[in-house]
Amino acid sequence: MSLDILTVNNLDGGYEVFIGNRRVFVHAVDDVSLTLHDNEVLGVAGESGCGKSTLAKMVYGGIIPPLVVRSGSISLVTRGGEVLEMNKLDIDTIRRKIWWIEISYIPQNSMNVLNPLKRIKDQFIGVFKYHNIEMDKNEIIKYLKDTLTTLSLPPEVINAYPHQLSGGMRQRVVIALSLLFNPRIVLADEPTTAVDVVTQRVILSLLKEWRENNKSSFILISHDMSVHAYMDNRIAIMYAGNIVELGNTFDVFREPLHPYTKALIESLIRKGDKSIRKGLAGQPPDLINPPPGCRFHPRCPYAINICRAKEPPTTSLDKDRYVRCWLYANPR
Amino acid sequence: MHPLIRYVLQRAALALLVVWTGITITFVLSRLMPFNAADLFISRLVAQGGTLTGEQIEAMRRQLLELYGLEKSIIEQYLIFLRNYMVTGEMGPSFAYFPTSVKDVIAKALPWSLLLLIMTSVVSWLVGNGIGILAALTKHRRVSNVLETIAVAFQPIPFAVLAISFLVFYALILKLPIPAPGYVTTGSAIEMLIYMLRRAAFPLMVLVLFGWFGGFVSMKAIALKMREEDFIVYSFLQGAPTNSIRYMIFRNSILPQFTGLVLGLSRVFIGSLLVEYIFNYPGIGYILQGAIANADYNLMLGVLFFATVATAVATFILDLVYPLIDPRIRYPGQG
Repeated sequence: MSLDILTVNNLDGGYEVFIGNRRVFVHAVDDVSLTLHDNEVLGVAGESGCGKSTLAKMVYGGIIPPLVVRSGSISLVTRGGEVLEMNKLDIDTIRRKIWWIEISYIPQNSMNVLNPLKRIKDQFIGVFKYHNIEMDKNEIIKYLKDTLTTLSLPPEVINAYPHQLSGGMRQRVVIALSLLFNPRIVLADEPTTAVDVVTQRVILSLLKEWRENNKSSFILISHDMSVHAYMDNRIAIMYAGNIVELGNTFDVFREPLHPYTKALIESLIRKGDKSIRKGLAGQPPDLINPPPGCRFHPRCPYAINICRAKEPPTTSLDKDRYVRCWLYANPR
Repeated sequence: MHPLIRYVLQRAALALLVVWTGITITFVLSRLMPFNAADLFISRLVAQGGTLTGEQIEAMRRQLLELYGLEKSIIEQYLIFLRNYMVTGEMGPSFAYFPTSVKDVIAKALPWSLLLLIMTSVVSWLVGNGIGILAALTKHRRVSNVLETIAVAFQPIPFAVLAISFLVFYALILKLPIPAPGYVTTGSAIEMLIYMLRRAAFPLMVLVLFGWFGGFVSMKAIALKMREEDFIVYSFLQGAPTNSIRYMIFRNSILPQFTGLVLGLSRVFIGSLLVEYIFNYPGIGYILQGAIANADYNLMLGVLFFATVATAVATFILDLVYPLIDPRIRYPGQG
C-alpha cells in the first residue's frame, strides 16, 4: 500500500486579466483532484494551453498575479510525517520550509532561468543562503563537483557564467539545482523541451536514475507522450482545464477510455503500423468562455445530449483509474 | 603579446584616433567661419569712429593676421596647430584676450564648470536611479505612478524654460533669497573652494531638481522589466527572501545605466552656457561662446580639444570597466 504524500482536492483557478477595460477570467484549472503516491512518477499530459503548467504552479504554491486560486485544498505530508495544508500557510513559511526542501520545481524554460551575472557555484551557494542552511563553502564546492559529475557535466562548469554554457548544460545545471536538497517531491514542468531527442533521453535517464535512488516522487508535465511512456508510473490526461482520465500508464496507453484519450493514443506512431494517423477535428475551447457541460463535447464523436448540458462526474472504475465522461457514468 | 594588453592598446589607439579626428574637424570648422579675428578687430575700431585710411587699414590687417599666425596657408596653419597640440603642448595666445595664452583663459574658467557639472551629473544620476529603482520595487504604486507622470511631463521641456520658470517662481512668487555670490579674489585654496561650492550650490540644486527625470524613467522601466525576467521569478520560486530578490533586480538593472553616467561626465568639459548665463556663474560655456563670437580660433580649439579628449577618455574607461562589472562582456582572450 503506497502512501499518498500529496493530495489535491477540487483545485480551481485561473488568470484574471483585463482585455481593454473588461475583466475576464481564464479558467485554466477547473476542479482538479489528484493524489501523488510515495515513490512514483505521475505524468500530466495534454496539449498546449490545457492548464498543465498552471496546475503545476498552483500545486507548487507559486501564485504570481494574474494567477488566482479560487478554491481547493492541497495537503502535503512532509518527510517528518507532518501533514500540512499548503493553502493555509503563509507565503513566508512556504518559502522557507517547503520550497526546495519538500517540493522543488524544474521550470519550463529551464535554459533561461539562471542569473546572467552570477557564476554557477554562486547560484548554488545562493540557494543554501535562501534557506539559512549553514554549510562550509569548500564542502559545497566539493559536493557540487560530485553532483555535476553525476549529471555528466565537467566540474569546471561551477566557475562558468550561464552564457558560457550550452542550452543542454544549463538545463542540467537547473536540474541539479532543483535536486539540491533531495526534495521528496519534484515538479518538473516540461524539463526537456527545447533540446533534441538525444539530449532529452540523457536528461530523462538521469532524472529517472536519481529518482529511483532517492525514492522521491515526480509530477512530470509534458505534452510529449513518448516522454510519459518512458517515465511515468501513472498518467493524468488533461483537456481544457479538466483531468479527463487518470490511470496506470500502461493501462491508459493500452486501453484508453475517454474519447479524448482515445484520439490522443490513436494519433501516436506505432511500430509496423503504416495506416494514416487520424487527427481530431476542431480546436481546444476558449478557456475564457468554455462550452457548457463537458468541455470536450464540441469535438467528441460520441457526444450525447447530456454532455451538452451537464458537466460529467468523475467515475472511478478501478483503484487508481478514473475517467470524467458521461459514457462511463451510469446513473443508477 | 598578451591579448589583454593588445586590447588596451587597441582601445587607446582608437581613443587617440577619435581625438585627432575631433580636433581636425574643429580646426576645419573654425577656419570655415565667414570672418576672422583681424577683420572683427578692425571693424570694431572703425565702428567706434576711428579715422583710418584704406592703406592704414590694410597694413593693420596684415599686421594683425601676422600676429595671430593667420597669414600662412591653411595647410601650414594646420601643421603648426597639430605640432603645438601633439608635441609641445602649446595652445597659443587667445585673440580676444591677446596676449593671454589660451591655457590661462581655460584654467581660470574650467574648474568652475567642472565643479558644478560633475556634481550635477553624479547627484542627478544617483537621485534619478535611486528613485527609479525604489519606484519599481515599491508596493505604493500610486506614488511611483505620480512620480513617473511628473518625470515624463517635465522631461521634454527645455532646461532654459524650466530654469527661468523656477527662478520666477522661487524669487518672485515665493520671495525666497537667492544666495548672493559676492566676490573673493584672494584667499587660500580651501577658502576658494568653499566660495566656489557656495556659489555652485544654487545652480546645482536647480539642475538636480530638473535633472533626475531621464535616469528615473529609464531605471524604472528597466527594473520593472527585470522583475518579470525568468531568472527573477525562478529565484522567487527557489525561496529567495524578498531582499535578495530586490538586490538581484537592482544589480542587474544598474549595469546599462553606467554608460549614461560616464558619458554625462564627459560632457562637463564643454560647460553649459545656458546654466552659466541664467545663474550668472563663471564657466567654460561663456568662454566658448565668446570665442565663437570673436572668431577666437585658438581659444575655440582649446576648449573643444578638452571636450573631445574627455569624451574619448570616457569611452576608453567604459570599454575597460564594463568587463569588470558585467561578466557577459569579456576582454578578448578571456575564457
